[in-house]
Amino acid sequence: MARFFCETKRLGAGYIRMETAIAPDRWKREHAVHLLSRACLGASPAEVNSALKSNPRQTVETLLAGDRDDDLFPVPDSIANKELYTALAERMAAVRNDPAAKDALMKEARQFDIRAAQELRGWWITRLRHSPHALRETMTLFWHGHFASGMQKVRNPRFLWAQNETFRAHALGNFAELAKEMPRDPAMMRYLDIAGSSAANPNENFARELMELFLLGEGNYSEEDIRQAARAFTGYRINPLTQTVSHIPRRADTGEKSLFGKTGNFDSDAVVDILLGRLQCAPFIAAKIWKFFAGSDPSPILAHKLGERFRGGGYEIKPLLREIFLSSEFYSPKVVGTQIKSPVQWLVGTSKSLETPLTGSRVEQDALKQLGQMLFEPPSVKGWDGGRSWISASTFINRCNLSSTLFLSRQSPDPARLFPADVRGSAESLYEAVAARMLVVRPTAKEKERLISFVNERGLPASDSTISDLLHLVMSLPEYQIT
Amino acid sequence: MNQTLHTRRNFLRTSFLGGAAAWTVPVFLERTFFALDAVAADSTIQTATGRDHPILVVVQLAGGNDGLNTLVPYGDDAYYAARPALAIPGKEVLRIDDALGLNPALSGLRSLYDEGLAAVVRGVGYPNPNRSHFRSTDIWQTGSDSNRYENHGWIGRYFDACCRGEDPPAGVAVGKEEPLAFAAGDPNSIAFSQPAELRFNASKASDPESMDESFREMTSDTDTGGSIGALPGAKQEGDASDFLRRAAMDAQLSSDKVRDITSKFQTTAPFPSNRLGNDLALISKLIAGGMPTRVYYASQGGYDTHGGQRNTHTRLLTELDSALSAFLAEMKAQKNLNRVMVMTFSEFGRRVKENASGGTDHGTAAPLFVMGGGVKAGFYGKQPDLINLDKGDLIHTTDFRSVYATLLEKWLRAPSAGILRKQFPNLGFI
Repeated sequence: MARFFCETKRLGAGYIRMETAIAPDRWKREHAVHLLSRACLGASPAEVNSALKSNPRQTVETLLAGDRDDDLFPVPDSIANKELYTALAERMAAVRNDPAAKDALMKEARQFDIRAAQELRGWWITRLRHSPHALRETMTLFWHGHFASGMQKVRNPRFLWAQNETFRAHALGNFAELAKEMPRDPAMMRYLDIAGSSAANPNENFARELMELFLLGEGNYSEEDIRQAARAFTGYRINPLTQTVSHIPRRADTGEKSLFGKTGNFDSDAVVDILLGRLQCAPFIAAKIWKFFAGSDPSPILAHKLGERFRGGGYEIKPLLREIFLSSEFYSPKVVGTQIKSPVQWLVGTSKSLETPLTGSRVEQDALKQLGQMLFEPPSVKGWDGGRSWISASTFINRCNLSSTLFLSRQSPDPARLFPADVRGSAESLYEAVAARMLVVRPTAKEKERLISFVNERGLPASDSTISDLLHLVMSLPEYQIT
Repeated sequence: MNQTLHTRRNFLRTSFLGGAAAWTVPVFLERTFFALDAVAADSTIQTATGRDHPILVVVQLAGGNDGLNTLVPYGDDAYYAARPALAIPGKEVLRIDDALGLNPALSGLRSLYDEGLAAVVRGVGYPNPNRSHFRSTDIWQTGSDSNRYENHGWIGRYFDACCRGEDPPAGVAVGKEEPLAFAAGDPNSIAFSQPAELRFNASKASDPESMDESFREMTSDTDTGGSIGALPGAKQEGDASDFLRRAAMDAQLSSDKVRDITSKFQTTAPFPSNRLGNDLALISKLIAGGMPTRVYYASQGGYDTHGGQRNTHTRLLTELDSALSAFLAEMKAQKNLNRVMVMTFSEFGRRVKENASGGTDHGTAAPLFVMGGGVKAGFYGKQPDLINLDKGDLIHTTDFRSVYATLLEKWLRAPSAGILRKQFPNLGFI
């Protein structure tokens, strides 16, 4: 195990503050694999090597900086071409008084949106896999699970795309700015019922989740705080034709509101600012980000420390991530090799390990759905639970079988390149090469023995089909589901 | 507890590896047994042997079943006034009393009612009803208040509370994906449309059998060193490898058991050849074969009858009626009638007034059926008022969680207050 330097000192009468970092002279392959598997959802051996040649600090800086990727992922026409749906909306308006024509057009619009939703999912899968700014995509996925909205209720793939771009734009930016976007985000407005919320009848759904799930955590607010805050999220509506958000002053509650001991004519930004100013906010968000990357809750000390830094840094996200990825805790045995891969991590990571592309196909989308992580359709506003809830007997078997249908048949990797002749001569060397490429957690002695004898029974030097079958077995190991 | 130990070991020995010889219980399972023993005193863990525990079968009628044309208030003029085209004439109704009767398509259910095997719970719904299919379905599946969100299902919470560390699978859903009702902190359920889907599939390999054998050996590996996380009271962050290993073994056990049973057991009752009929026939086989499963889940879709309701609804209810009748007849033949309880539900009923397209729109409260040998036949809950409506919809008289509470406490013998977040009154149909 690596040696870290760890210095603790007492600060004042209160808490222990830890100054720790992973030491550059102990930066080993397992650490590079760990970092990339969490921050980038996986890595090819070449990417691991390049991180290894560098040092931890430089590697983290590279991840944070990323590379421009916008022009690599053209947005599908069904999503981005505004004219297509404004034309549809105009035709709809024209047949308002003709029920039969309206029905037919509604059907057409639904079909159009179903296709758009599929193309959107495919687009994001491809981007998650191939973006040269992988960490930004990973954080975009985090925000999607945090500020969750789903297609079934929003009923508009373009809104969810716009929200996805908002998450991406702020993914590594400033959390306060991102949070302020949410009450004006059409997908969120529909998902939590504030599109059309008015002074006369304020809807409390968004205000409640803003406090309970998005900013403070349960128990850190009162019902009265919710009622008061809800009044500030009134007066916004979505124009069905332009699909933009407009503010209708006469429907907005501009009166005085009192929450958390403060009183004023608060608008939506002001309410979010008040919540961001609560002491519980920063540690709540920092702990959730930690858990997303580390796989388990931070210790109270660590949560406090990360929260302090996050708040002190004005809710800038990059410094928080830097802190997480360079902390010795992140590379401790409690964290390394203990996270159950999410279906997205499993899909993208497998594709990266095998150096084979993802195309966002229906098969890939259906796989994520079957495994419990359909993009743009989280189970509820709570997002995905993660951890053990990913794995049931069915999803385990599905992962084993899908690893073969997705990766070993249609878009088979190139065994000749991945596993050249010099590792095929002995079962041990082939096993080592496969394990090094595919696994973070090493198999048990018995599993290893079984895999090696499987190769030997098939005969040496190992053929392409032996390698393919060996990969299938390795991807069906309990250990393969963990990173 | 010795009984459990014995049973689970037997289960492992006989069903796993087809009863192969030199087979020992994996180390972590062994530890599970002892730990179970230790915590049994203060836990609600239930043990099932596959032959005597109560079984719940949930049948979802997806789309929003029209309750008023299912349990028809033929004695109420308001019903005929609201539905000039769709109302079922009083002479066709299968009368139960002088106010209510069943849709003529439900003749099988009517016989079950007469035999004392079916109860009707009336006016089932919840406060502040949501008329969106998916949201209302979520509310029913999680058992939450209509303004609250839960990621775990009401049955999943029962599994978490009462079936941890128990023989897998506690829940079996027939379908492509597991219902939200089964979602749990520690999932203990499987879903499949065909038993073959549960199989480790290496059919493309040149020698599928050796692949299969390798997979079996690896997923039954006993060589672990970590802690046991899934035990009640044990730490949640148990070793991830151990957890996965147990999941892999559970998958293998469940898969073997399901495929073994479905190939050996046949049904004798005449199941209709529709999807629900097939699914309930499959469930019958699993029950006959002694699966340790507590809750089965099947569904029938198509109830969203906005237009041309009459024919569609008749067809759906006929399918439902024939499938349920066959299922109960099969349970009787198996002598399992007294340990099986069926509950139907739909996410909402439909608007009282019919619409202009010969259909009905999304509504609120509706009746549901509970069937089985342990049921006290009759009506439960008040029939909703057809005059005093809320935005054209029925006002519910019975909270759906009272149905759940009754099933949990009186049938599954589980404390319901923790699972449902509060204590709901028992309805007395069991």
